[in-house]
Amino acid sequence: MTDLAARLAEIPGDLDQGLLPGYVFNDPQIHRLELDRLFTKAWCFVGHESEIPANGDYMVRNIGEDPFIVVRDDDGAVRVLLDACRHRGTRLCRADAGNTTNFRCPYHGWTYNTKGDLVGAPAINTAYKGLDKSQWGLIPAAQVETVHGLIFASLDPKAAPLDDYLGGMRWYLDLMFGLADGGMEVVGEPNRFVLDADWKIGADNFSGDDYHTVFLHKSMWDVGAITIPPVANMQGYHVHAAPGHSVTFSIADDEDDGGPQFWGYDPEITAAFRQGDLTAEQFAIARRSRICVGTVFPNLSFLMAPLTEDPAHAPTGLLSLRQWQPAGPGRMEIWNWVLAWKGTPEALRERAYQASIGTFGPAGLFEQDDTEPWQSITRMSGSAYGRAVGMKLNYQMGHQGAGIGSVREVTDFPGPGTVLAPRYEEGVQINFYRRWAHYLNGDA
Amino acid sequence: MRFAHASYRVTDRATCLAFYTALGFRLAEEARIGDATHLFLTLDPEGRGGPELELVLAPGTGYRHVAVATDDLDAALARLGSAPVRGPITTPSGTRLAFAADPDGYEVELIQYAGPAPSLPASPSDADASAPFRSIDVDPTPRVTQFLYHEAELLDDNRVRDWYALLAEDLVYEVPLRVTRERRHGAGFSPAAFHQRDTYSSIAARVKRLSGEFAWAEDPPSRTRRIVGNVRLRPGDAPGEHLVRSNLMLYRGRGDAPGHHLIVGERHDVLRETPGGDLLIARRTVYLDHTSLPTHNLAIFL
Repeated sequence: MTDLAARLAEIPGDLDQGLLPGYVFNDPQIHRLELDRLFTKAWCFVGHESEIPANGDYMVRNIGEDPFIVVRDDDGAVRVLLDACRHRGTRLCRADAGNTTNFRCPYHGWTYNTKGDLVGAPAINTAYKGLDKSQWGLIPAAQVETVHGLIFASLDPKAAPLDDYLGGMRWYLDLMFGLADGGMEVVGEPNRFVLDADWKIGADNFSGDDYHTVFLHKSMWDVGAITIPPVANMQGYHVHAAPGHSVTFSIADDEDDGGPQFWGYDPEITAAFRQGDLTAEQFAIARRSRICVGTVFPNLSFLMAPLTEDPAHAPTGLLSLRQWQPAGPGRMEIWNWVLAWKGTPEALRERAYQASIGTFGPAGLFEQDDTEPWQSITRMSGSAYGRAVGMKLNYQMGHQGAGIGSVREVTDFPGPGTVLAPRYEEGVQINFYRRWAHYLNGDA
Repeated sequence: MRFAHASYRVTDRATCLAFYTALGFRLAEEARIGDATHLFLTLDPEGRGGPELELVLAPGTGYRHVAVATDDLDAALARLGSAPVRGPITTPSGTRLAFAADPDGYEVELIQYAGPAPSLPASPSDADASAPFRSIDVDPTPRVTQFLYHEAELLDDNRVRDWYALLAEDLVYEVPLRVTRERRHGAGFSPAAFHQRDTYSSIAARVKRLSGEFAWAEDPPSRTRRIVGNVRLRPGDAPGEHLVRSNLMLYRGRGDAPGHHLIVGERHDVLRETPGGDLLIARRTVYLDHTSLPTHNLAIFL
């Protein structure tokens, strides 16, 4: 452990030079520390309110690798409860989701209501005469908060409130999710698939690895899944919105550029977009956005973009939410949600759903290429020789002080955070790893 | 003894039907016998029983046979003496057939029906669309099974363009998402969410991509082995369609990774007969036995 502590202590210095040790994606000790020090403290996404619309609706979601019951209780409040009976620790939920009035343990029958209170057990008056039931309710997540329907939980009672945790990232979430009165809702259930790749690689990619799109995803332009020209698509901004949280915008330099606005959403949908609580500058950025990709630290990412899975249909605006869940060292489960604006006409909703699962998700034309290098990165991260020679990975593109690249800081951007342009820049990922190292070093 | 039919080969269903219906013939029945489609045409506006034409959609053209129906096949053959005879054979329904060659080698088919001679009600005037379709005497299961094996071979051999030729233009290909539900709530297949949902057109984009230079997901290609079994047939909702269920076990290996992915599920297909005697996949729904997919992508077809 001392060796590990020493290694971790060196990471911030590496990041200052735009470097990351190669071993971090495939190391059982690091994985264990991530569960113990990061996922038990950071605010983690556990689902969207529209997935559990009615009282008694529940779903099982992981924080780190621990299953939690996310339930709308009898009073309509969202609760996040560790899925373990207080008697012996048995899991209460054997289904992924459902609707219930109580959770009953299959082992001895201890029964909890939707608030997690212990309300009964077989022969309770004889077997448990004198038991204080109020002491034996399900263990709740320390804090639960919701923003734009996105439910987050922190297992750390001392964690700063979600708004403070998000910091400048909130401005960008508002810009996307706050455009229409009804907000967004999840379509269907989330896709899940597992692969031999570390969860951080997905979070890293969606922090703003735009550079890979031109090469890895070249076939997308060849088949017409995306129509914004690849080099023009590098115009826009990299935003280090707050520690750990980054977002990248594809925005044309020329305001009169004829390309997609509002991420290519259909005019029938954008007609309902209004400035509302947003500033005029926020609304203007939203209007000019062609693509937004970002990561809310640690493992929730989003993509809003005009895409199509079939060139017979024009690209359409869509939102994919994805979560990179750890599933053992060097292994993750990807969760993929498709969201639509409430009130979207059925045909447009259907088209966006098709375009979304056809481009991102297990069968997605984009994502199926991503998972190839992600797996080989993870394998090589376990390289013995790589460790022996101290192999470092290069995140120096546009790195401040390294003198590499042509990126410049944008000082007149209306949003919070450090903003850089064009998008040939890897500070967004360094921003992610800085906060990751902060948690792993026990500083959070 | 009565005249049953004359049979010859034709090559194009539509133009033949147009020609003979112009002469007053009516398509009384369309049937799959062995590997070929057989069209039975009659001049009788009401039913069957009179002389018919049997046009067989098969390569080549020309005479096959004339057929006469008899109540006593053995007696009829005995009367022919030493004429060369193929058969007799007995079909699964009990009908007995034999082919006797005349002095010039032209075959005459002798039929002894097990029950009454075929007599189906007249169909509406749109003969092409509504003629009753049935498989006479021949169970299509072996042929359909062979088709599924052939399809699996094309995919295992990475001949995706050839596989694409087996798809109907109105294809719906979908892989519904599955969640774990309590028993009383059923198998957990989502009505609203899919891992994949494609059409003839969107699969064209996938095939084009896989054939290009930058489809990293499948270049080098996965090594796949599809084991298709438990093939079950039911008549389809439309003439000429089969509802086919089959089980799929798909082994997938990649690169030098020592492990493999095993993808398992049940496929519900609609297979459609073509005028040329081929089968096309008109619909495929793959019900997977997984909630979380045990593979890093679905860059392969199921």
